[in-house]
Amino acid sequence: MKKGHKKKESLVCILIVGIMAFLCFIPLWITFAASISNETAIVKEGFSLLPRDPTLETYRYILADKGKMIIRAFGVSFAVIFAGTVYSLFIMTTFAYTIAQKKSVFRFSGVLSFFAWFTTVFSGGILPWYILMTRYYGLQNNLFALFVPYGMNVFYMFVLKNSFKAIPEELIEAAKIDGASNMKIFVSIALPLAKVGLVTVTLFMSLQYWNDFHLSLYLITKTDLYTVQKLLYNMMANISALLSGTKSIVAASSITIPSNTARMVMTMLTVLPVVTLFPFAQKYFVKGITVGAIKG
Amino acid sequence: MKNKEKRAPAEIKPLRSIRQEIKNNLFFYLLPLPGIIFLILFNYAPMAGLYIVFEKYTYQGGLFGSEFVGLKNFEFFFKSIDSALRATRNTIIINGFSILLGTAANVAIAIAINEIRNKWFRKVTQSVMLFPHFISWIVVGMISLTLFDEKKGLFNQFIQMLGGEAVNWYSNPSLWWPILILTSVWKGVGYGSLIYFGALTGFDQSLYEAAEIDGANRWQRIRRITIPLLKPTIILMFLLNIGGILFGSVDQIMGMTNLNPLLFETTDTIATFVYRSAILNGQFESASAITLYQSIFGFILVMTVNKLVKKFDPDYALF
Repeated sequence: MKKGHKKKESLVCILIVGIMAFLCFIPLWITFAASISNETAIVKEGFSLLPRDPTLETYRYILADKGKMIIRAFGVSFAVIFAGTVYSLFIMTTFAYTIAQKKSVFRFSGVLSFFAWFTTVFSGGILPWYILMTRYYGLQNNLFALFVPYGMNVFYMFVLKNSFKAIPEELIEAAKIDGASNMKIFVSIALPLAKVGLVTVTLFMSLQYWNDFHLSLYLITKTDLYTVQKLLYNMMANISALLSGTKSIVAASSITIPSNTARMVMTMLTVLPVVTLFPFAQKYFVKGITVGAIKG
Repeated sequence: MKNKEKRAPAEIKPLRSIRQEIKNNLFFYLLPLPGIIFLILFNYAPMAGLYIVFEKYTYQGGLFGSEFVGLKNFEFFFKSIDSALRATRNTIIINGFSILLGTAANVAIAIAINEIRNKWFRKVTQSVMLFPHFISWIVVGMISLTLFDEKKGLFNQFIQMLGGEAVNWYSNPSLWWPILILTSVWKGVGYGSLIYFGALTGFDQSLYEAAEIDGANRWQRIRRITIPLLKPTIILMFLLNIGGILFGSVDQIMGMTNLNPLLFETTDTIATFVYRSAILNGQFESASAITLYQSIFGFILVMTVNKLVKKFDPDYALF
């Protein structure tokens, strides 16, 4: 039977997948190459697959000149990741554990599950949301505005629910017979056994907070509270404003700041945390996505 | 899934007294409270806040105290009907084709990956393709500068190398439907294909072995076994996505075009329209009107889709 599995490789399939993976990788590579290129070479000859006159000059320039701003933005982003992940994990785990109960244990688990599911299908759109956040909840121009609105991601919550559901019932029953309280069962049995799900969702949420642009776009105008994404966006916006001006301004700006490579350096700095986390997180992602894909 | 069948109604004890029930199960009544409060404040309250579309919104009056004007906002809407219709058209075209092409690409890649025997190759390509999902649209926008930049971009270098004329990517609206559609397919292919791949790996392998013994070649196996088995997942995912066709976030447009007015003809969507009129310029009337019909059509779409799903497989219906 083992022989049956050693089928011949399909060249077409390898080609399709290979090309697709190549297309996913190459733009990032070009960005990296640009970030370590020499600015004048880029201006003269354009972006390229291989770095032009490799140098770390722009990195040095960015960290020296914009260092304070960048460190600040990284600080805000990491604070948001930390506070946000703890906050949303608390909300999601408690909710997910409740709806993972059988109806015989808690009669409203089905109702609550629907209550959450419904919000993924219907929404009020951005306008009432924006007014509620800014006028009623006071979520504008403060650190809370950057994570409080993301308390529950319903899809990730269902991933958690499924991992609670996967816990063997006998374990819970045995603990109950031993007289453990509901709280004790939740904290010292259910949570440790749902570790894979918890790690998956923690990683997902951290990345969501890291990549988020939405909240800082709508709710933040103060520069002190710029996240890394917002800073990157502003760098792009300001430089494009320069580019749309007259040629002399463009020429002047390329003398004073290495605008092309600087943007790519900033992009690389923004992607860096994801790149470092990604290899470790990969196996969790694959598991999490396949588990959470189908309605819980 | 299996747990659903186990839940026999007989197991549920009859409700004797509410106080007794709450007392016995206090833990489970308290535990979901943070989640319930969150959902009410951040998901259900905005739905109620849709009341705004019938008001002349003022900051003092707020969401529920502003003057009630009925459908008057639609007058303003018709004044800006051209840009509203344009936004709707762009939203439907960009989202619709992204969903269509995205589904096709995701399924194709999932099947192709499933056919590959070399585990190492499979893992590496899967990781590489998943990566774009985990970077923000702002980063994608920056990255795409290296390709689309008028003078320095690789596309123009390539076109000129072949003797063509440099294309003005950032001032030519007709190019942006394909660009936005293809980039969203590009960004989602790793994640989307994983969902189908997950479904594929669960299929009964004996079917394939039997087909092989009968002399079916690879293409026949894909066409006669894989695709029919995958069909429920494809239809389900497709229907779930189509409900949100009128919604969508501003991130992609902001990241890729930086709200470039030159490109509005093809890149102004409902989301960016609302963002520009209400949040940047404080004109709530036309934003209200477009929000109203966005919600009405969204509602109709979801209901229709749900009916279709029910017909197709009642288990997957939303309600």
